[in-house]
Amino acid sequence: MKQLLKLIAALPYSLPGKPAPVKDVIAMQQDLKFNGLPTLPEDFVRFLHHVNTLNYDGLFIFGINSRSYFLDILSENLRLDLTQKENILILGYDEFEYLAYCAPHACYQIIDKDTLEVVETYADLTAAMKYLLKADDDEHL
Amino acid sequence: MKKKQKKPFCDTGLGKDLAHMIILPIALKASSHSHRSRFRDNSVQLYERLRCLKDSLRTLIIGDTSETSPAYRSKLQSKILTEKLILNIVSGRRADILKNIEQIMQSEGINFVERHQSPISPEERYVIKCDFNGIPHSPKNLSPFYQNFLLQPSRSSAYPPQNYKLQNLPDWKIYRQFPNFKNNEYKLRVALSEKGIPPQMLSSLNAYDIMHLFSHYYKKHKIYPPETSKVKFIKFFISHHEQAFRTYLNNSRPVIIEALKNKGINISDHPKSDDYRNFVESSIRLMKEKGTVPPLFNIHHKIPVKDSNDPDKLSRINSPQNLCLIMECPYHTMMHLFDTNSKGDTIFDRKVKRVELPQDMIFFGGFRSEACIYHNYSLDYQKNLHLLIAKVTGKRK
Repeated sequence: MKQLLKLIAALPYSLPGKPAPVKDVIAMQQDLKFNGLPTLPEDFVRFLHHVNTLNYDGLFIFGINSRSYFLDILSENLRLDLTQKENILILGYDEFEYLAYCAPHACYQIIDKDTLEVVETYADLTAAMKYLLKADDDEHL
Repeated sequence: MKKKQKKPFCDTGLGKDLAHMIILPIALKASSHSHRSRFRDNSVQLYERLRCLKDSLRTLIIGDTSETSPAYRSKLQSKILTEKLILNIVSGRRADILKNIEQIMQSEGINFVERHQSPISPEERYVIKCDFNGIPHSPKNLSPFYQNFLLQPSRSSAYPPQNYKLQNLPDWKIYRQFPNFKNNEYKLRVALSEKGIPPQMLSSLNAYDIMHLFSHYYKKHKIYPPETSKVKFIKFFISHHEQAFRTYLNNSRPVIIEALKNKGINISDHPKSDDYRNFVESSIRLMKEKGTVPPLFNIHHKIPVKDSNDPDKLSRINSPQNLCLIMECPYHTMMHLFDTNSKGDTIFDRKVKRVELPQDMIFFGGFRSEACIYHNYSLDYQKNLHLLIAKVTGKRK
């Protein structure tokens, strides 16, 4: 998680949202459960306590946003209304892919927006975010 | 007693995680035992969220025109439709919602096109994506031949680069349509040579292997990969329309500040505050220097990637004429509302409705004409492109 936060802090002008308070996270978990969606994984909750919503270079990571449906985990998932919504929770997207949490396998998935095929699978949030932020590509440069 | 437990968790960063782990299971357990009360609470919360959605849609339909203007009065019809839409949203009837949105947008002069998708192969889609977003660090789906080859100990290059006839590489016909790959044909030959792949085995390589070779080459030689189509488009846009974009951002100050606030970012609305000016300047500077998509915006493909039609003209999908900078919420979201409408069908017989944007539109900031920016591509386009390339390569040197 430290690595991920360091990576986000290094992004130029990424404007991360303010950390989500505990009571909002609990309310969100209850809302998700009530709406038949998987609850937030532990490392994503930890992420929300530091960075609540992120928007950088066409990448949008959801959070808890009670002011608008935009980037709000529950509203966005209800809006997207994808199949298997009881197993898959969408946590963000870019122009081509969704970042999703697959509850049955407790892993993060990169899902193609059009075909809904799983492109990549990651055990933790940091690795999935590194893929989306193309951090690996820059490491060698 | 409860307050005493919660307070320290909220005060320390680490405590929040503990709070989540301890309080959440209790809260969830409690909620599962009280359906009636949860239903009531949740309905209110959900309604509040939908109300926000409604407000966003209302802004979308009515725009930020003054309520007393004739333009507003002429849109009363749309407003009535909006009310109907709200009712449908609250009652959760998705099909009705989409139908109403379509009606509203058509009453605003927005055209829809409905057509069967002409799906492209996963390989074609992959190359389009990499051309747009950049070369991935570790491509997956490598061919068995290439995977086996990677497992073998590295060998000295036995074949010179010129021995590789890329026409024997089946998926190269996809790559060569994109200037970013076509112009680096020699680098691929060098990568093949460095890996020691026998030239007669080129036909065994797939599109993912080629991307791996490119990725490995750039990593090994520590050189920057070519600029992606996304970066090129943003730089192209800002180099031609900086003033128009700046004017849009200044005219849309209240809307952008509100959008940032909705995202949880507080930017001062005070006229003397430098917050908004800094936001505009930082966004434009990053667009110019790095080709970064500005916050709250995204790039929209006018002809969608999944509907590329002509397999021999794949690169046009990522060409500036097919791209449009657009405000993500609500406009880009609205453009893609119909995408998942036909879920459950196979991709081959899926019919998708799309909002049709004009070919010369390069920026979409709202349904009012003054909120959009157009680019005349036909007017000395080649000259502009050459100038841009010269400028970019000159800078890099």
